[in-house]
Amino acid sequence: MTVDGASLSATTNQVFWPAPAAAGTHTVTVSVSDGVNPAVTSQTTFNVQVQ
Amino acid sequence: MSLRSPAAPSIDRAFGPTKTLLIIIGVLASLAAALTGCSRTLGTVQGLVATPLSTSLSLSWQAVPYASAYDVFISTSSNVSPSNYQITTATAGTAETFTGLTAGTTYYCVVLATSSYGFNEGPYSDVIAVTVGGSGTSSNPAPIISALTVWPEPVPASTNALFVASASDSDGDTLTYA
Repeated sequence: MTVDGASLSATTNQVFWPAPAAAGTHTVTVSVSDGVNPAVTSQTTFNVQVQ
Repeated sequence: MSLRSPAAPSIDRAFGPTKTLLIIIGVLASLAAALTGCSRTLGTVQGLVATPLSTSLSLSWQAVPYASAYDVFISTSSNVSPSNYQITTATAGTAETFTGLTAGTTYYCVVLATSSYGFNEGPYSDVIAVTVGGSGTSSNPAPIISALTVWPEPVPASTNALFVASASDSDGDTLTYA
C-alpha cells in the first residue's frame, strides 16, 4: 500500500499509517498480485480523510 | 340356445397358472419398489465439464433426478473411481471447485449422484481429464480488490490509522500485497 505515492512497505493486507498533523484528503493505493503469477496484479485507490 | 354369454378370456387362460403367478409377483415387487424406493438406483451424472485455471479446476454437471448430493473424485491417475482417488468432496450443488492443485498436472475427475431419499447411488460419470495451468487453459484471473477499511475513520491528525485491504482471487491463488 502507498499513501500519496509513499510506500507503507506492507506485504500483508494490514498496515499502520502515521497520519500527518494537517487535515486533508490522502490517496491510498492498494496493489495486490497473484501468488502464482506476480505479473497478474490489481491496483485500486481509495481516499482517506484526516481531521 | 344357451342364454349364457361366453366366458371372458382370463389371464389364467392366456398364460397358464404358473406364469400368471410370476406376473402377479413381478407387479407386486415393482409396486413395492416404487413405493419404498429401496431398489431404485439414481441415474448417471451427465454433462461433466471442467474449467482449468492456473492451480485450480472447476467442475460442473447436470442435475440427476432425485439426487440429494454428489460425490466428486479427482486423481492424477487415469483410473480414478470412488475407490481410487486423491481428493474427494461431497456437494449438494452441481458444481465444485478444487484449489491448490499443481500447475501442469493432469487430473482425472468423476462424479456420482447420491440420495438421502432411499435411492441407491448412481453409477459414476465418464472420466474426464483436465490439465491445470496448461496451455489452452483460461488465463490466470487477476485479484479483485473490494475494499479498504480505515480505523478510525475519519483519521484524527497525528495518530496512527490502521488500513485493512480486502481482496479475493477467483481461482484461490495466494495474494501478495504491495
